[in-house]
Amino acid sequence: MSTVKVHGLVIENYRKMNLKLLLILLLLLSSMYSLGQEIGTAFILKGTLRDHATKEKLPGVNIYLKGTSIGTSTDENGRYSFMIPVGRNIIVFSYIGYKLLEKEESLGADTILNIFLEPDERVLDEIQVTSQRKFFGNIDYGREIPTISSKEIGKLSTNNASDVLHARLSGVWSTKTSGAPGDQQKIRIRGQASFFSSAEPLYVIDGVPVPIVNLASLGISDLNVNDIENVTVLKDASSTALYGFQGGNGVILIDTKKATENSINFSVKSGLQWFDNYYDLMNTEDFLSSLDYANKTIRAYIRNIYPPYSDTLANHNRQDEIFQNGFLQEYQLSASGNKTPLEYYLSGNYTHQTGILPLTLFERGTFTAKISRNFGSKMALDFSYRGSYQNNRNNQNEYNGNRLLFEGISKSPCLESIYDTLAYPTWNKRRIHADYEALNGNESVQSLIDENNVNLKIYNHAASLMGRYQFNNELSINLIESVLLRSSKYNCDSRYYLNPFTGPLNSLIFSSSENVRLLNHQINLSYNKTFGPNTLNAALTHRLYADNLWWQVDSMQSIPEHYSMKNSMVGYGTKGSATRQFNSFIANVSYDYKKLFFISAVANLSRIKEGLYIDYYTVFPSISASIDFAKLAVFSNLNWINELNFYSNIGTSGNYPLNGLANDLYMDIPYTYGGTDYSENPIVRQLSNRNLKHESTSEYDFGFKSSFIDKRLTLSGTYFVKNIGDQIIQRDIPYYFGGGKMLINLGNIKVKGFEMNAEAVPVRNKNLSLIVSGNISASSQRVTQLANGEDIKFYNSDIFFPEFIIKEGEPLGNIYGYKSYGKWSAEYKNRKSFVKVGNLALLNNDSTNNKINENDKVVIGNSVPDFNWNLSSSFQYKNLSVDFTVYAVHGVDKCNATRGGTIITGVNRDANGFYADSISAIFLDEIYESSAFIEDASFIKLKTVTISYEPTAKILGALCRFSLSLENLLTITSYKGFDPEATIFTDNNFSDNALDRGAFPNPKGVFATINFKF
Amino acid sequence: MLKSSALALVLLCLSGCNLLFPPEEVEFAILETTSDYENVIKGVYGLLTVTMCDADLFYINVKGDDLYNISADYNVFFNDPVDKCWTYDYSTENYTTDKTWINLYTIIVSINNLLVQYAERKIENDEINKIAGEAYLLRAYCYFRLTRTYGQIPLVEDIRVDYAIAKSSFIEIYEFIENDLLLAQQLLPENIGTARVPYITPHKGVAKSILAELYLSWAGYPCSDATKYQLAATTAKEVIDNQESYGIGLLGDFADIWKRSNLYNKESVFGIYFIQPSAEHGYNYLYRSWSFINSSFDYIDGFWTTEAKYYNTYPKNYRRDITFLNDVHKHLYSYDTILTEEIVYKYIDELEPKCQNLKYRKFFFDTIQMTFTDEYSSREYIFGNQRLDLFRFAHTLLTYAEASARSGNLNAKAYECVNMIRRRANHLDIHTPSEFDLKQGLSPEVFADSVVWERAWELAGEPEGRWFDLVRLEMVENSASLRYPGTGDFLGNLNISKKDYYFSIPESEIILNPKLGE
Repeated sequence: MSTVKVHGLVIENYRKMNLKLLLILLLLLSSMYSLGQEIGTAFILKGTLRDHATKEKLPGVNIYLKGTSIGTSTDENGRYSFMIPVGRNIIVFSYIGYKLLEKEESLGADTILNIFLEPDERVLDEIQVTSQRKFFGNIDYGREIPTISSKEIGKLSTNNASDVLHARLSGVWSTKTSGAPGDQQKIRIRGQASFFSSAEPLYVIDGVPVPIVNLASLGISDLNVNDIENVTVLKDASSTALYGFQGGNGVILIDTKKATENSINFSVKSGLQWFDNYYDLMNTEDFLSSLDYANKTIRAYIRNIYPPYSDTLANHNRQDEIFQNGFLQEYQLSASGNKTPLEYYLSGNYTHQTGILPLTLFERGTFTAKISRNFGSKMALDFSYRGSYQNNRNNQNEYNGNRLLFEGISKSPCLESIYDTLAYPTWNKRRIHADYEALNGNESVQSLIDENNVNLKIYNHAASLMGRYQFNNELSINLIESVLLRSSKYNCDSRYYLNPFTGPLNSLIFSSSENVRLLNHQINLSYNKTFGPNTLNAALTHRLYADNLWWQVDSMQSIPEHYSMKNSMVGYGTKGSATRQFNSFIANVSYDYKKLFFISAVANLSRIKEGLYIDYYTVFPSISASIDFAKLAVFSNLNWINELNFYSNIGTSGNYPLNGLANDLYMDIPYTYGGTDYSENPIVRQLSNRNLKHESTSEYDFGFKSSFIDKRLTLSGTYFVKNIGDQIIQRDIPYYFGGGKMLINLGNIKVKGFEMNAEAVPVRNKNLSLIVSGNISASSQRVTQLANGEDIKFYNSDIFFPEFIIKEGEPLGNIYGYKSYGKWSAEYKNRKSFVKVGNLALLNNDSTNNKINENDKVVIGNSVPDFNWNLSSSFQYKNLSVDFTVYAVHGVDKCNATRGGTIITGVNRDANGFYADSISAIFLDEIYESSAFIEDASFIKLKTVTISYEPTAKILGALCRFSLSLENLLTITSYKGFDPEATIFTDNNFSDNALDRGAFPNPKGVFATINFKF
Repeated sequence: MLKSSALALVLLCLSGCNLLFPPEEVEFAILETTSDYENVIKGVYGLLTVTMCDADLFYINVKGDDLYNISADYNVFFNDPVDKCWTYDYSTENYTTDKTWINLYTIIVSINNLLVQYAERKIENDEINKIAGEAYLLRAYCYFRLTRTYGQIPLVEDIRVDYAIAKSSFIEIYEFIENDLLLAQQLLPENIGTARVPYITPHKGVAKSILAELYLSWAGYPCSDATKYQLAATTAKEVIDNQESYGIGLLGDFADIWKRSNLYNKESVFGIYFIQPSAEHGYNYLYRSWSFINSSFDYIDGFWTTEAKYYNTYPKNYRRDITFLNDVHKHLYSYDTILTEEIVYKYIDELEPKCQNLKYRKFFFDTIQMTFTDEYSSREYIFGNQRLDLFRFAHTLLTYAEASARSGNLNAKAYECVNMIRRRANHLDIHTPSEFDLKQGLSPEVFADSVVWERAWELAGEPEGRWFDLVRLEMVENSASLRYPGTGDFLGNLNISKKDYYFSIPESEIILNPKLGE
């Protein structure tokens, strides 16, 4: 509401103030005011407001001039007084529970206007049952929380709900780690705060938390972007405490659309994606002639693999074989109606998208229905259902990255596969480097493509019922009951090559399923009382959240075709189940003193029950305070200051992921014993830690939010410190206890950082507007404590790469390896600190001997970004609008193993010299573990450019909107790989952003949309 | 107002209690009914079959003088632990021996879970007691096998993870196993007929037989507590005396033990039954052998064979003909060539004495003639319905004989016990004295020595056979002289010490719990 005040109000409200001070202020402010308006053209309007029937004085009634921000509100005696300009004015009187009154007055002198407002029975019909924030016990923040509205979302070209948060807000680091269709953004709020357990924020859709779980951890992939009304990010401890055990990583509140008008919307989108940021790979001629320079041994070896090259040899550019164009089609139809007391919103969406790699596909159908009904003036009920089907065909969650991209592009250009020629070498005579063999050897690109024949099908049903009963103006009771069922099925029908001994071609048929069931119940009693200009909000909430996950491997067959076997390996099933329950009693109270001071406190008493053993209580308290200096008399007369809010929050929250490993696991081995078939034999396979605790986050922050000149300039910034204790780590269980993994608590992380936001609206009028906004967020995370000071490493014995180690006192995300100084040269010769390995000069860190060993590993990079920023601009001229977003991440290192592959097999043109000179190096692990392939993956990307046009005239009886979006058009980076943003998944958070080993790059794209509104 | 208040109250009541949303729990972790217990013990048997399928369990047996790996070249190339076991070469990492540790402890953890819950059981019936008895017996066997494979090991009887558990002393381990077996003996049913699954699951006689074997081991290395021979003898005697009531005994024909038609027989005291091919491996390979004869190529594949000197000193009798395939065709298996059917296998006409490495026939006694490709399509028929004997009644007879002699109580019954085995070896009636009998009047030392050799021949290649005798009698140091000189890489001059008696505890375990490395 109005924030620009004229001095008349100050006189009214602060008349008890020292007269002298008042006089000075008056002089000062009058002079300022006179800058904007001619003296003598404004008059004071004052009066009293009363109830029409009872004649009671009404405090807190809003009075403003229509179409302006000039206004005031009545004091405790129902009186008001403010200055209005001369001429015709429409004065609006608005008060909850009363009919809106508009009065047109032409004023030439100071006037008294006494008004009687009529009560409105209809007002309570406008109960907002779906707005999560309002619903949740009137939680207030004393300031505006950044929100992404449906209007902004509409300008994005995405059909992926997680993209909505990308490059929008400060304090959010979002990475599109894979460009595969349907893949989700990796979102970190306020830094990377967890070693192993889920670091993703909690999504809350219409008040219902969505579980993030193992196999189908696709978060909100089922959500239709077109159904989103707005998205709010809760970052600070005062708000995340509300979500207790689930709030530690931040909370993203999503409100979905509800009926606002009678309309039918139809839109069609179609798009094209392509990828052209290729490596410079050699053709056959260059490749084979480069071998002639190679070391004698390797030449002999390679000659063994490749037949004598002749004119008949193929000449492949592997990248042309691998990449293709991706196509997207999307159809959206929604209808909404508002026939008091019934409101409905129905929406259906079908998306079909093929990716830039063969076989990749994302297909989704969603249906949403929302029906609201008011019962009289005091009660409202709201039922909603979301159903979706997804078919996700991409192999991107694979642990070792995409083999097609990693191994496929490293294949020599000159032949299909070893088996095509039957010319594979006498492989058992010599031990050949496993990676080399895999990369250059025995599989054709086509077989790598076939291997990707996997799909993940997800069925999702969510239903919820919300109710609200308003006892009177102060007291209301709210209820949400919801059920979510998600079942996902993973199928793999993949053919792959094994080594020549076991047979050239194998098939793996594998399927597994995972089911999630969620029940959420919330009841909330809220009390909202206004004392003149002051407001008291208090609420009591009980939330019961229970989720239950069960999964099983349905079948697994491995069929080596070499032996014409029907079933060589069948059925080796595992299954498991996990159950978690949070029971929270939340009390929150806030008090707003004249919009000047604001204080709020939350106490969340939560009980967790997981599986059989975990059952304990915790209290998550938080407190937050803010002061808006703009409301102080000193500033309130400066009408160019709208808001000058300083705030601080302190509080705690937790992170307890639903993770099957925290529960007892049971393995099912179908077998026969004693003549009987037993298919279910539950046995203890993995143990739960009966003392497991949640990761506890304690956080404080302070910041400011300010806006100036009719909110045309907004600046805000926050500094925060988070301490995340009891880090949950997956630790191996000794085999004498059955082996497997167990979750334990050890270690603390401290995250410090700041985030800033600036938004400017240089022009805003009917025909032309321009909004420019930018955010910058930085965080540093340090491991402050590890149990026993023990280092934690991520390793995978199958592949070579530098080590990712967590060490006490060091930043999270450090990459350890041998420091490489490039090619060996004579200048290093007499210096003990360099060792020649292959033909590389590696740093001999310990200088104790002339050999490279574990002790010589040093920090060669850090994979957690230092800071990221984004800039977006929205320009509108009449019916045409242009929006663009730039996103940048800085200070991040990545191991580019994809490029490493092309170098060591010698197909990359960059490798030419290296390959010929230092071929012996190729066989050494140290090369892979050195900084040779560590690259700076900082980037600045032009993420989206959207141009849209809305003709004024109706076409086919509908209002239309045409828009064209361009995606990832431009990237500025020194990273030499496909895409600096893409990474593969590892089983932890600290190396998650560190390894590009065949990571799926983000393609460029162009999308065209037509919207019809009937 | 009243109406709306009531409505609100109803809403409050509905939601305020958990009745609307009963908490979901995983039920099958708690053993509440008899069938819960049954399921768990079935799972344990399942794991046991998986363990027995793994050749890894038998790697320790390869260290004995009765086994040899035919494909030494192959194994050297692949750094195969089998070969390392045979040559006592631990210089390279032989991590695959870890699987024995992993599998056996996995079984133990499952059993611990069952027994912990059994101790707090809410129901009481015979079936549960029988199951608990089986659990004690199986745990005892696992620890028995573990301690003889790895030496000192940690004893775990709870399910709470202890990262700092220490290794127990040998005495503690043997006492623990003894205690388990005694408990098993109390809880198990009387005989083979009243067993929970007749002829398959253990009964009192089984517990007692294993107890006798335990005492025999206890008397030898590493505990070297000679007083246990007395216990071994009396325990074995009780089994022999009560064989009728237990329903166990010696079969008259040595070949009958191995016949497919005799899957369930009275001689098998403690056996593991494979009805179908193992889910994990697709076949039940004992000693890594593929037990089929290929009609089109006329060969038997299989990596493990007998050791030459052992075979040459083996008495030439009926039992030898059943135990070994002495008309075997050795194949040439070349990895230098492409694996095609024509050149991989060659018929070799030269039999003994040149052929040093003969296949064990007894494990594949009823093999079926099949073509190469048919074999895979009907593997259930071939690999199903097999039994792996861990302890046979022959064990008990020989244990009694040896323990009696060593405890200074050499008697006629001891002679009779060993002579029954000798008569059967020569395909004679086991109760009628024969020319092959050991004659009365041998000194206890000579008699015991004869029994040890009889045991070596009778139990040739079996998982509870020769190697553990070498260990308990501290004969491993003589390995060089026991084997044929110049076989494989075994040069006969290795410096064998007590460390070669056991495998080392897996490195991964020592990393997690450094106390195990001490």
